Amino acid sequence: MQRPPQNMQDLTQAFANGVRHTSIEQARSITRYHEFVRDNVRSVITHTFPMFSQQLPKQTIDHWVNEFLLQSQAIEPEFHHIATEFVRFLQTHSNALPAKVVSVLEYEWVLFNAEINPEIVTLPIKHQPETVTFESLSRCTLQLNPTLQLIEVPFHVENNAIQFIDENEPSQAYAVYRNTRHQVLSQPLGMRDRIVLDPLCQHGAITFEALADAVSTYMPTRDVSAWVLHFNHTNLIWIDKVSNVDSDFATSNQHLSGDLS
Amino acid sequence: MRTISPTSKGIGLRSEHIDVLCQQPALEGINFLELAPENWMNMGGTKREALECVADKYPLVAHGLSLSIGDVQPLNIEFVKQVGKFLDRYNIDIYSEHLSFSRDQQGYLYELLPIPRHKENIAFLSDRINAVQDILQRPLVLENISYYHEYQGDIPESEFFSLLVEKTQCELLLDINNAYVNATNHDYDALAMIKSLPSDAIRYFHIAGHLKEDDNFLLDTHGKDVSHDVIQFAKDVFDYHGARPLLLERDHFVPSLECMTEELHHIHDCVMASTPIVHR
Repeated sequence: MQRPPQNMQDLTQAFANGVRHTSIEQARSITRYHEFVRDNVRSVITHTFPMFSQQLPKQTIDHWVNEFLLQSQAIEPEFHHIATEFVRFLQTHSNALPAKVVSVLEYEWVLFNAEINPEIVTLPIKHQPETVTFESLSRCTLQLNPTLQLIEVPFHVENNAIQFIDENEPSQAYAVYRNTRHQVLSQPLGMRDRIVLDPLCQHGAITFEALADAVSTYMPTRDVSAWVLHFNHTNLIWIDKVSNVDSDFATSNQHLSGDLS
Repeated sequence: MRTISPTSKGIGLRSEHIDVLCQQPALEGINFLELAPENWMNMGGTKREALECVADKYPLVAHGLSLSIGDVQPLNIEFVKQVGKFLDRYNIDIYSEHLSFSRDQQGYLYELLPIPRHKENIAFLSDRINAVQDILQRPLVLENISYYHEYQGDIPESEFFSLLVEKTQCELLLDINNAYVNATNHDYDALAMIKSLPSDAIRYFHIAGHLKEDDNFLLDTHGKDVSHDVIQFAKDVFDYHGARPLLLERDHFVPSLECMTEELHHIHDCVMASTPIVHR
């Protein structure tokens, strides 16, 4: 591969520097491009992170857009990943904004990521929610929705608005995922939800029996069943065949395979 | 599935129109759709479902934004390979990109920045174009961007493109509005520029609206209907080079699909009057 001519390197870098570091001394032909890039970045930020944008005055957003342009080392080529690059950038400037404001940005990035996550969200055909009964659960295995991300934030979200939690109160956990109808859902999690999700997150797939066993200290099996049926219905988890289970659990539950065959 | 012919006309695939496009059979008045692969590849959910739906109904053309063929950093091979997979998956023959750069030594800048049109850069750029063509196993179709900055010593755009075509057998996406905007802003003869492009290399045309600023400076905004002057210029382009697939771009203040289709037909009727058809 040819090396770029030195003059081409110098000219393009000088022009790019001018676009990043605009000043009133710059030629209009350069400041115009600074404005284009600034507007692109601002547009992506305000559209992708509306709740974050509401937390800050316009001048503050403009300031950080300019800083992003000046300093960011964006590695993602796609324009929509300006959002990802902006989050990365602010995370490396931890004192740039109040931590709780950055947490709003991170929360909205998780929503964005669930929306575009390339994983296919489809329920196993033979186990649509309505076909699974309370009684048949013991013969099933459970999987997490592949788009699921868990996030803990210092606020509640109600009607797309942020309500920050007092500093001495515990933070709020959310399960963010895309359902089979391509809707992005954000499920506030209580202590019991987190207890049940913990073994699922650890193992990826787990038999119902193993799950009920793992949480038996905290929840009776009947409550675990109700939890599983409810969150299978919302697509946070789904119910699958026993043959898909992790080998650790398959070994201890081989007796169930015969029931399904 | 229909194929794209020299008299085909298409529009850019917009999220504003996608539900309508999915809900009805393929429209007679739209022969193909153009999309930016970066906005659709590696995506799940609604976007993928919609893409599958329109890909079943319309031939697609890919018009990239992020290749940055004109930068001086190592070519992003992984990105090109991902584009290649996308093109193969959706049976897309035409992959066009901008002759521009979007990345400096610090990182991506997310804008189509003009490159120095110097003869000594041709060999380097040709190497990169060939590398992309080798990976994609398709000609790279390069678009003339609207540019608002010139470097000292720039040679005319048409000469620069002609040299690249000669060296790489790449093809051209001639953006008629960009040629008009550039000629107006930089004070040269748009038709003379168009006439000195290698006709055989032109794969398809873009047309779009622009904004005239107070000082008569033109901005390629894709936010308005195509101006009468650009349509007249397009007719000259069609008369000289012959018919090619024509794509109407619109990125801002996007009208209804019906309105865009009407505008597309109006433009096409104007430019096709007495135009010879070039069969490739």
